[in-house]
This record gives sequence, structure tokens and C-alpha cells, in this order.
Amino acid sequence: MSTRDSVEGLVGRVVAGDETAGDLLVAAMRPLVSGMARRFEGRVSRADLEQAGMVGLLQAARRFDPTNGTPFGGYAAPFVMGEMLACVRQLAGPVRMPRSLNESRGITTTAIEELTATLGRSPNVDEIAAHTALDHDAVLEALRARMALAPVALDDLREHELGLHDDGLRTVEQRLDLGAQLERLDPRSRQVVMLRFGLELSQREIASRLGISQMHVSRLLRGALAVLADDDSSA
Amino acid sequence: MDMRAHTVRAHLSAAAPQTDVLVPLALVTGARAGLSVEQIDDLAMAIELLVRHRPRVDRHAVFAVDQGQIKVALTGIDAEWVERRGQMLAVLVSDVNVAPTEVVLRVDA
Repeated sequence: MSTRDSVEGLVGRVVAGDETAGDLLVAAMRPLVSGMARRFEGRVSRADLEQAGMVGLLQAARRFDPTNGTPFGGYAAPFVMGEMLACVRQLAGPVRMPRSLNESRGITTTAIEELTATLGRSPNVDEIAAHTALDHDAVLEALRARMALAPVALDDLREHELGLHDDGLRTVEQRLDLGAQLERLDPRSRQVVMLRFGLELSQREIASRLGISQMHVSRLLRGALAVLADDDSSA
Repeated sequence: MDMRAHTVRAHLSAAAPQTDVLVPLALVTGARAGLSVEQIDDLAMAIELLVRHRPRVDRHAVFAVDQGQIKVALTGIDAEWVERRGQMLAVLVSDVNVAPTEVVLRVDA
């Protein structure tokens, strides 16, 4: 059995709910996660980065479709990167969250991913509270902390890793009628704006299509809208 | 700020950090209306889009929550600009109603 086969076999067992397989998958993918963590080392600790990367790894495992032919490592890399970027933003930023709030945020984020997969739609606050055993106010605090995270820094994104070629989006770009404003956005944000407002895909659908988390899509959109709002301000 | 049973009213001065006030209000009232996390996020983005376009004006905001629905009325908007950005706003919320002095966003859970 090849390494790739064994990793993808582990992913299948993770999806089936085998907790032991999760530990084995984390061990098997540690070299990939550690290698990506080195890019950000010095800004936050390696341990924090690797922990964040493992969260992204397990998110990817739950969404991975082995029938599309993509190696799991390639599929998982954007998820791992997204969580590491979130970690850098949070821990290296000017404002640090209290540990308890940070924990609630992590629990809430995981619950949103799980409930979205289970329900086939975005959950509401009551559903998250019931799923996590956090009280309603704690979920609201966690969501507020999640929304307050800064937009993704452009130089932290490696666009070539994420696949930006889609000729159909050119037609959408014209229909959106944002003109030169779109050119002010980085390619990744431009693509997300076109998918959201041109094709009217939900954040969840965009996340699935691009292989990144919904939270990452939200951050990209928020950053892009700040540019679009400011860009033609007449006030 | 006046918070009655299902309505929150806020008056924001031009110097206030308006999105820092309005986004948490959208979160709390959106949760009360039963919106999903993604709907709340989209509503917050719509509000940010409107406020950031004209950030330094006195503004009134009213968040009216009814079962399964929220309406957010904002004054101090640029109606012409909102009309131009109507397609984007319509993607973020269920309905956009533009009047000369205010815009009303509606989201149905």
C-alpha cells in the first residue's frame, strides 16, 4: 500500500467517525503541517501554528472527496494555511483575546463546521449553543470575536496555490459593473466577490468550491467590501 | 440607546466608531430573530458596506426584530450610491428598500 493510499484510507476512517484514525492521520500529516508552520515561525510559536494547522487538517478530512482524484495533501493545504493565518492574526495582532474567549471561539468555529455539514445549511445561535453546551451569550461572544478578526493580509496569501483560473468569471465581472474598482482588489478577493455577488453563491458554497473555510471566505469578503465601500466614496 | 422588547434604536455621532457599534447590534438582534450565522455575517457586511461608504455623518439606526425576521433602518446613507450597489446588497439581505433619507434592510430567517 502506498503512502497516499494509507493517508486517504485514514481520511475515510476519520469521516466514518474513527477517532483512532484521526490521531494516525495527524501523525502521518505532521511533516506537511510542520513545514507550513515554518513559514510563520517567529511571529507566533511553532506549537500554536501546528495546533492550528491540525484543526485545518481535520476540517479538510471531513470535506475530502476521494473520488475527485486530488491527493489529500494538496486538498488539505489551503485548510491548514487558512487556520495558520487565523492563528497568526489572532496571536500576533495588537489585541489578544482572553484564553477562555479564544477557547469558546474555537469550539464555536468547530461546531459551525460540524452543524453545517450535518444540517446542510448554516446553523443559528440556538443550534450552536445546544451543540456545544455553551450558553447563548457565550456563543454570541465567540461569534463576535470571530467576526472581529482582521481581514486576511494580502501578502500572506499564496494565490498560485489556490487556483484562480475561471473564464466564466469574466462574464460575471462585467455583469457586476464594478468597473475599475475590482482591479483594486487582489486576485483572490476579486474572485470571491465575483462568486458571491455575481454568481450569488453562499459563503458555504464558495468555501466548498475553493477548498477553504467559510470563515476564511467571510474574512476575504469583509476585506474586499471595505475596499469597495471606500473606493468610490463621495462623502 | 433605547432597547424595547424587540427594537433597538441607536443614535451615532459622526465621530463614533459606527461599525464597531452596529456590527455587534446586528449580531445580537440577528440571533434573537433566529438568523443563521451566515445570514448574520451577511447582514453585518451589508451594514459595514453602507456605513463605510459614508463613515463620518450623524446616523440613526433601528433594529426591529420580529419572529424570524429583522429590519435594519439606517439614515445618513447615499441613496444614489445604494441604488448603484443594489445588486450587491440584495445578495447579502432578503430585501433592500431605499428612501431619500434612509435605507431599510430586511432579512428573513
